[in-house]
Amino acid sequence: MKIWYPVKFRGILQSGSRKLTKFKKSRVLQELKLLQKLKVLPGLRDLAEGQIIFLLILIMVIVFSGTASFLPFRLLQGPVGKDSGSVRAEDFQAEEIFNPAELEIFSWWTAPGEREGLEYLINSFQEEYPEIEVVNAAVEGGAGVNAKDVLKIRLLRNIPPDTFQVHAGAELKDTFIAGDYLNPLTELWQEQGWQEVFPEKLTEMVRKKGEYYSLPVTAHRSNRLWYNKEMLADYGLQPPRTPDELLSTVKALAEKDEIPLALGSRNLWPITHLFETLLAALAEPEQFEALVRGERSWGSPEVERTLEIMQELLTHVNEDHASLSWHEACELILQREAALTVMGTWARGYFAARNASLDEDYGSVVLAGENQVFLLVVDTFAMPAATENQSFTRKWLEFISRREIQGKFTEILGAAPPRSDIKSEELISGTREDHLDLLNQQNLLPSIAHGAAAREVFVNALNQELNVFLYENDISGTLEELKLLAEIYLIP
Amino acid sequence: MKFSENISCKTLLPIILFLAVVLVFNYFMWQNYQKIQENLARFGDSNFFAGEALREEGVEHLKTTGAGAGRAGGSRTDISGDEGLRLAFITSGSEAERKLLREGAEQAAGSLGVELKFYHADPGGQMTPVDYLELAALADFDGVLLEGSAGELADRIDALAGELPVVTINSDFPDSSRLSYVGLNHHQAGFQIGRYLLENIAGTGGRIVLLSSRVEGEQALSSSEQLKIFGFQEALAGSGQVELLLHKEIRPDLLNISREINEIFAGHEVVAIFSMSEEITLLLEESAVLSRRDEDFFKIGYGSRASLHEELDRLNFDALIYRDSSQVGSQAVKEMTTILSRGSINLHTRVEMELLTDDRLAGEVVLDEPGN
Amino acid sequence: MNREIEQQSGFQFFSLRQKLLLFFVAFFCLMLLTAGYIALAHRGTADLLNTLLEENETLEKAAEKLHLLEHHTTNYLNTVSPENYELYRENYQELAELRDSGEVTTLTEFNELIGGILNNSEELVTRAENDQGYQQKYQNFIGQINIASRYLNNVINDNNRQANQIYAQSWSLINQMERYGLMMAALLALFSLIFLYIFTENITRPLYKIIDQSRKLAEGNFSLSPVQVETRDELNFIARAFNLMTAELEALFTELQEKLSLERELQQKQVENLRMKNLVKEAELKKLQSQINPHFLFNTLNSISQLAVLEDADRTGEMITKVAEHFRRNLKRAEELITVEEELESVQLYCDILKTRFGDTIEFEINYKDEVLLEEIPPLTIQPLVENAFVHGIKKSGSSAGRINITLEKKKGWLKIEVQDDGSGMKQELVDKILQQEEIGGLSNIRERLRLFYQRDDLLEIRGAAGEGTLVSIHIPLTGETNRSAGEEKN
Repeated sequence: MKIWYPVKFRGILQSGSRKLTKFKKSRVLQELKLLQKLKVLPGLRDLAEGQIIFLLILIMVIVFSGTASFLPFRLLQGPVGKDSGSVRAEDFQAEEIFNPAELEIFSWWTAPGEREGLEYLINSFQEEYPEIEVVNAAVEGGAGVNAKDVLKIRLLRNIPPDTFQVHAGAELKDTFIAGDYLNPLTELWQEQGWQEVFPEKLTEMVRKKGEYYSLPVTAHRSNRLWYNKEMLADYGLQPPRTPDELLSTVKALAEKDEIPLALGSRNLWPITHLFETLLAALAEPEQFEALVRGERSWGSPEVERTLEIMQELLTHVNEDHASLSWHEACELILQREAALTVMGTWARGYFAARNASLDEDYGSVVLAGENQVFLLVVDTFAMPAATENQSFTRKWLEFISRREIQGKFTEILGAAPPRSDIKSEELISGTREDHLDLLNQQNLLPSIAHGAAAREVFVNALNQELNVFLYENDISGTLEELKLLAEIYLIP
Repeated sequence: MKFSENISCKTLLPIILFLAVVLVFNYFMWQNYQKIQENLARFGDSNFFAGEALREEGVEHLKTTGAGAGRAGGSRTDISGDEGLRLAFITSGSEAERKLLREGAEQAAGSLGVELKFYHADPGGQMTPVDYLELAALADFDGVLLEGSAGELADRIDALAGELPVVTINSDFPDSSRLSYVGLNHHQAGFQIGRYLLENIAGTGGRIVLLSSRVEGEQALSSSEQLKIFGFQEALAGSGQVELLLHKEIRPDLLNISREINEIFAGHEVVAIFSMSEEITLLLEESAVLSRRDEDFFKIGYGSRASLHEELDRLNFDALIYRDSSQVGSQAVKEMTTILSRGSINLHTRVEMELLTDDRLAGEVVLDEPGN
Repeated sequence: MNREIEQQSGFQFFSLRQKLLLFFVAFFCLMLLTAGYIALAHRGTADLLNTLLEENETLEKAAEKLHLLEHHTTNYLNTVSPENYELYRENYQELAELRDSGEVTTLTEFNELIGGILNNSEELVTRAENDQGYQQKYQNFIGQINIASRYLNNVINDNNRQANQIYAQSWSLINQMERYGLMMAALLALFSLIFLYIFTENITRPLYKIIDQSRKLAEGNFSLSPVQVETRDELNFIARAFNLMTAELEALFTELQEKLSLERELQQKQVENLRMKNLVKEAELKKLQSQINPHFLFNTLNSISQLAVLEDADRTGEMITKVAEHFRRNLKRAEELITVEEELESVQLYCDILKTRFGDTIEFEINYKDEVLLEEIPPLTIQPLVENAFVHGIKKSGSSAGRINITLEKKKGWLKIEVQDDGSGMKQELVDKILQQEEIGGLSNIRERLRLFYQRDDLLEIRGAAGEGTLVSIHIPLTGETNRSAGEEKN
């Protein structure tokens, strides 16, 4: 058998070791020696040429596939990465330093109108008490959802703010007072004589077991209708004042291909807001109160009727309601893109911040039933039990209760001032009406959507359920769910 | 060479047979080869997910009206381009949880045409969630979906405010500059559970014990647990039984847990136990420490659909609360996309909580489909 | 050449060479295919590993360069010197290149990551150059590099894990492929064996058959079935050629046989002719031997006859005349046919002679019809019969008295001549001898001559037994004359 090897090497083999030394210890040499050895193997000589080739090919194939399979495992010998040590990234945590001379005011007044109002309060207070550093710990996040979560955690952890915004009524009582998170302010109340100043209904909402726990600063009315005057005038329509009128007006506008009702359901509560306005208008006040106390079934006819009307109304709202917040819906009114919207009196604050004026750029009427109900939303400030700067808080509370301060503040916000000794006539129109109704104390009903009537968890659940109703339109199903919710969350 | 008419049957048959064998062989080999190629092609960034180009919701602009109209929250007010969004999804929980979150997130990302990159911070690993947050900022992601409860994260999020939008998942930092939160409403959950518990215990005046897990080095409980406690307390306060509440923090440690439980039972008369943490729930089950006790008390557990699903057969709890993690993942991606494309933040991103009660646990348990 | 064969044979030619080539090509291709698949599969995993290694290398390089960047940036910030700037810039470029190379596939945000760090370092450098504060940013930068490099390490580990997983999954598939390949190779071997067996069978079987048949052919056995070959190759031609050859041989042989038999017949005929000639010669010889100048005899006898008459021996004279006639007739040429009439005259003459010799103790009777008279028969056919009848029949009995009946009958183209005597009869032995031509006598002669004339052996019959007389009958086939005498019956 002849083994073929490259031509040039043949010369090397033949000429012997002299030429080999040229290559010294090259691999080539080793291979050549191997070839030489092969030539000498006795057995191979005897095999036929074809068989040799076949054998070689076979061997090559076997070896090839064998090594190909072993190779990977040899290579995967653990990661090659360098370990750059266990030094962690530096903490960028800023440390909280509690400045003793600090008053931390916690709220969620960050929307246009609200923000200006709060700033006014703080600035004014700062002017009066320059030695106290006021920290505006307002937390953004629609309708105070974020703020409330922060507040709860801080209260639980015993690192509360010095004072915080809280809705009078169920929210205050069932959640914060019941949890023993607040210092009673009875002393301050008595000092300042606030029982006489605030309407009984309001004081009721901040009083539990004879103790007062917070100071009302605004009295918003929830059940108002805001409309674009021009548009209604163009169509010769009067602003509706009852649910039925609302329905017919909406239908009339719908025929004219206008968007009758503006809704900003992004944060869900405006749906509940619409619901409670209709419910308050349709139900008797006692029924309403019984409902929110959990004493009356939520499958009652007035609730059903409310849902029916809502269902109808919701077919005529702006299509992008899911992405609009409440004030963006108000903007639609200003821009004449929609005719009506149902919102509380903080809308007034928004319009003011937009430099829109009542009766020119927009109009407003109370939306109620036979009884001129006043759906009450009362913002108050309370003092956490664990606060370290109680004196500051007291100063703050006293400050913001002052007539002028409260008057100006509520004006910016668009609310009615809770103090009864503020003259209604001095108030701007619209607010005047609300203030009068407030002091009348007739048919003052606590707002559900804004924490006055029921605890927050109920309102959350209600918001979600009504949102489902918005899309699924299942009245009977929703009624069942509402009954269930009342059972769970409304502890009689 | 033409074979047509003249080949006899005898030669044709083996040829056909042979050809058939060759074809079958080819087929199998090719199939295998294809499979191998597919396998090999999977090598790449396994944490990267790119959604399809199709989008359900168009990239329409919000009907924003001029400056000053403002928005209720949200410090980031730009971006609405048609390019694919790149989001980072940082998780730090259990593997099973991560898998479910990822599943939901990928589903949402697929229909929205969003790119996702998943980062997982192993508790014992080199990278922490804070590191990943930093990394996401560095690598110019459009937004971050963050699951983590470490305290430092809040500060980091604040530091990155304006640069990097963050949406928190399962565990929230409500006072940070995160834009939105997706997960359970823990306050509501705590309240609901409190009410449920009150309905189911006899009112004997024994203690109601809340268990939460406290990992070494953590400064405080996560916001989710705190809110659950808050809600629970509120429920008890409503019926005037808040003094019955006893809150205990336990280290999630299998060796330790028996001792801790025994301590509790030694010092108090326990009428109900609510394990608020997933790890504690699973540990209680694993150690069977509760089932071995003679006393009669009501047991409620909590966890995610991921972990509980496998354990359901032998769980000894009287009631179980679970959240649907894949729904959370999906919602988170949708939320972030909406924020980035429309500049609007939705707050109704709370995920439903499912309560599995006694009767359902006793019999055959069928978990509802996600989305309930 | 093949095409010629095809044209000649009229079917598609599939030569052995083509078959073998086809087989080898198929075999080779399949082996190649099998090996190819397995090689491909392994190639795939090799590619995977290659990719993995390259990836990890790039990532490691990146991590390294990041550390260098940290180092150089720090240096530059500390000294703000051109040399450090150069170093920094170089490092920056390297990282930028790495980022732009687009090699990294397992880390999708690689570009952005490196880009971010580079931007930050650039910012630091700019700030340092403009004497702006950078402390906080620098701290951040360090932290970022730390995070990034730890992350890259993580990714490297993840890559390894992933590749391991993928590889493990592919491993079983590759094993399966190898098993298939092995199976295929085994099948291929089997098929090859089968093919080779069939192939060689198809060659040797016809050849053996040909050999076998050749042998038989050599032995002279021509009743052979043709060699069947189903394949379309050279063997087919060989077989066909062989078959053709066999067939031709067979035909040839048959032809030869026929020729031979013809020749033999001819020979026989010649032999017979010769014998006839011999017999005739014999007869002639006899004749010659007995010839004593016939003319002298005749003349002498005639003279004697005349003398007798002159001496008033009329009867003697008559007898002598008859004897002379008898002799004359016997000496005539016996090769030509004579009429029955003539022959009967000879017979009558002979009878008369006998009568004269023996008186009335011998009686003769000749029966015939007139129609037979014109028929032609060989000469000395009947007369020797009578002679024989007298010699063997009557005379031998010792009494010299007897009756001889001669009957001639024409029947269906045959002339039957019967001579019946009531003598002692002939022994069967003698009959057999005559019939087998071993006895040369008058009967044999007749028989022989008849045979020569008519080529038939059976024209003479002898019947009889010892003591009961003998009947000798001759049947002579008639030619042509039958038309005339058809329908006539005389008796």
